[in-house]
Parts: sequence; C-alpha cells; structure tokens
Amino acid sequence: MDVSAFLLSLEQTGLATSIRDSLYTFPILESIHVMALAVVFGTITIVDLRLLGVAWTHRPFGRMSTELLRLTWGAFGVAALTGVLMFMTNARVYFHNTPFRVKMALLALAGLNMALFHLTAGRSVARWEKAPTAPGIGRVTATLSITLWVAIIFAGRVIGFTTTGAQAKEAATTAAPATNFDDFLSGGPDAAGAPASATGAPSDGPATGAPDAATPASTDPANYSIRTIMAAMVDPSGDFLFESIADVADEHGISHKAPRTAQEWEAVRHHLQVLVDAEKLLIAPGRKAAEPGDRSANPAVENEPEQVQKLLDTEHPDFVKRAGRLRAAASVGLKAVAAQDTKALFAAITTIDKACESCHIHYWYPNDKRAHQAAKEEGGIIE
Amino acid sequence: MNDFAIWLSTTAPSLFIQRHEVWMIPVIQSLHIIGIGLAVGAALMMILRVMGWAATDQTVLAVQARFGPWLTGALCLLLASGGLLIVAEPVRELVTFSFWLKMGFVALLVVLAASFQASVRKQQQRWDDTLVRRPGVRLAALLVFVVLACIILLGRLIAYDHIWGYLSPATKA
Repeated sequence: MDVSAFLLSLEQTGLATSIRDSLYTFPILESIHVMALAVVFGTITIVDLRLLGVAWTHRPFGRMSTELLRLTWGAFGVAALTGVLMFMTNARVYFHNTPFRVKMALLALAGLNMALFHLTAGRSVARWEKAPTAPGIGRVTATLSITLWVAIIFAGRVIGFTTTGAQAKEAATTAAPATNFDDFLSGGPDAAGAPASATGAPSDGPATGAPDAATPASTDPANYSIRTIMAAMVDPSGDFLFESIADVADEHGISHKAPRTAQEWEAVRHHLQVLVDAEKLLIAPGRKAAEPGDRSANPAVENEPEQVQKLLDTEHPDFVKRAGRLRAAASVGLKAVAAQDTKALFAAITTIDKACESCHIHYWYPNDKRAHQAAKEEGGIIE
Repeated sequence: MNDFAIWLSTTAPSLFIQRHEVWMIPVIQSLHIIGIGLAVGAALMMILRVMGWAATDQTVLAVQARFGPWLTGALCLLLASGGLLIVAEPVRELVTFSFWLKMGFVALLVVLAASFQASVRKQQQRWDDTLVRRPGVRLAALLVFVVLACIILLGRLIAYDHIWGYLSPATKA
C-alpha cells in the first residue's frame, strides 16, 4: 500500500469520519492538544531554566526533573494522541503540508537533543545536581530544548493557517473544473440518471417531477413544504453564494473571485442571512417534506417524498441538527462578511456546501454512490 | 460591540497588522501559546505543591517565590499578545461568546492567583502546617486547574464560535 492510499484509508476510517462529522469534536481535540502542549512546554522550560542556572537553582536537579518529567511525558502522550486524531481527519493535506513536516522534524530533533542530554550530562547528575548550573553540555542542550520547543509551537500554529487554504483550494478545484458551483445547482438528476449534486455541491430540495417554481408560501407549516422552502429561499441564496466566491482553475492557472465592492459584500450578507433564517422555517414542527403529488424523478437513487417524510418523522432531532449546521456555517459567513475576510468567507461557504450535501445524501439520495464518494473525497460529512 | 470591533479594525495599528498578517498573526498567536505554557507550568507547580503531589521538599512559600513572579510575568505576556490579537482581528475576537466567557474565567483566575500569593506571603507557617492538609484547600487548588483548562479551551473555541449556536453573537450579526 503506497502512502497516499494509506492516508486516504486513514481519512476514511469510521473514527476520522465521526470526528469530521461532529461540530464539536475537532475544536475540542484542538483545545486538549493546546492544554497538553502547555504542560509539556511549561514543565520542560522549568527543567531547562534549572539547567541554565536561571531559576530554582538551590533545588537539587535529580528530584525535580524526575517529578516534572513524569508530567511532561503524560502530557506529551495526550498531545500525541490528539495530534494523531486531528491528522487522520485530513491526512493527505497534512502530510503534504510543509509546516507540518517542519514540526515533525523539529519534534525528532527535540527527541535527539533529549537523548544527547541523557547520554552526557544526564549520566553524571549526582555529581553536579546541587550546583546552581549544569555542566556546559547540559546548558547547551537546555538552550536547544527551549529553542526547539518554541519553534515547534510556531510551526504547529502555522499548520492551521496553511491547511485551511489548501483544503478549500482542493475542494474548489476538484468539485468544479470551471469552479462555478452554480453548475451543480440547476437541480434534479442529470441526463445520466444521477442527481446533479453527485459532484458534492448542494442542490435544491428533494427533486420531484413537479415544476421548480415556488408555490405560494404561508407561515403555517402544513401549508408549504421543505421542498418549497428549498426552491424559493435556500437554493437561490446558496446559488448566489457559491457563485460569489471561488478559486477559478482554468488554463490560465488559479484566479480568485470574491466580493470587492460594498454592494457586493452587502448582497452576500443578505443571502447568508436568508440561510440563517431558513433554519427556523425548515425545522418547524409539522413541516412536510414535499407538496402533495410530488414524485421522485429518479427513484433508483432518490427517496420518494413519503420515504423522506418517514425519515423526517422518525429522526426529527437529527434533521434539526443538520439544519443547525447550515445556520451555523452561514453565521460564520456573516462574521467573515463583517470582517470582509474573503478567506474566512470561502471556508464558511465550503462548510455550507458540506452541510447541504450531507443532509441531501441522508434524506434525499441515500443510494447515490457517486454523491457518497464525492463527499468522502472532499472531506464532507457523511452520516 | 460589533460597531466597536468594526471601528477598531479600521484603525492604523489594526490595519498595520492586517497588512502583515501572513506572518504577524501566527507569530503573535505563538507568543500567546508560549505565554500559556509558562503560565500553566508556573500555576501547575503551585497547584501540585498545595495538593502535595510535587516539590514537597520545598515550603509553600519557596514554591510561591519561585513561580509566583513567573505566573505574573506570563499573564502580562498573555495580556500583551492577547491585546495585539484583538487589535489585529477585532471582529474575530470580540464578536464571540467564547471570548467573553474566557475573559470571565481570566478575571476569576487573576483574583484567585493574587489572593493565593498574598495569603502565602502573609501566613507562610499556617500554609505549611495546616492549610495544605485541608481537603477543602486541595479541592480549591484542583478548581484553579479547572479554571485554567477552561480558559485554554475557550481561547481555542474563539475560532469555532458557531458551536455555541444562538449563544454566539455572530449568529445575530
């Protein structure tokens, strides 16, 4: 098995999928990683400063280092474990990420540096442990240790800044050669018989043979369906957003399309707000999946309206959770608009895309193998 | 707060950092994490000493004298680097639920750390003779650690404020 197949298989494990899938797990893993590294760095620094004769010089080295290094190793174990879990969620991107590689190399150097200390000054601790400073080689390794760990922290932080972009770019270029997400939003199954959204981009509500025009809306959930909300609100706004920002890859290379003028930003804001507000409409108790008489246009891969309805009835909390993802991603987008941050906006819109697609795969076209595969390849949410 | 954050993001210092954000933000954030490491190391030693799990050959006062100033110094570094991060990305920081909850815990930690240090300096003997043996005191030390953990957790969650749902002010932005 070559490396990229191995990395892909890591990403496809149930564990990696469930981490990607959850709104909370990755941020919490990251937080635990920071706590653990704070303990690692904090305790190592105390030991190094003792070796350098900067602080706690009256305390014999042997006992304090034994006491502290237990903590260091425990915390290092936690950091390594959370690190591996985060790596698995996006293994191919991390593996090729330069700051990630630099960090791993620095960690190896820190390990070698530690070995160097134990093979030299570490062997004669009994002789110098009551002196205020360690022998020369001990001071050299202590200085190297602090330097390496500062560099490890920096490299680690840079990973977060460089992988988000890589992910977005990859998604944009693989999802759409012309990278106009709108191409996938024309709705309904294409001529080949699979839903157009097989590429992973969102599509409108459960496809039916009925015309796409919105039926008159009322505020009573009994009077209009999720499909109508999708066709009248969510789809046009999603459509607008996916078109508003993209990395366009063509024969001229990669260029960026993003809102520039105040009016363009304002328009993006309006459409994000529509998606935020759509949640409440979608999850209203008693809301039906489709209009009476609607049929699936492609029963081979799509659920019929009554199947969708059954799913909605039996697992409404799950639907609420999925609709919450749409609202959460759109809210992040609003924040990006407030900061006029195109990178953050692109990331938010990519997340909106994934929120749409994961819900569509679950309720609308669960039998579409192509959609599953595409979502998997793009690190989408599958459950 | 939204208006203030947007105004702050148009001031000269903010624009300066934004112009150099490619390297400045990771550098400031790394300094912030280094500050967290120093603060955690120093606080942890005092906590473990009070709990009787480390440095029991040292008096509580000796441990406080060794680590107290480092904790204070680390908190100053955190305040400075954190302040710069707010100036650099006001909306990202200020328009979040995580940030304000974190500030609440930071204020609590500062009060706890200051009163602990003052108490140790004033009643050195009592700390070594009786206080460290009281379960309540040990529990309080453990709680300080929990506060510290919450601060770190919430700090990281600033980047993921959407997980709070309607509690996040960005939802109403």
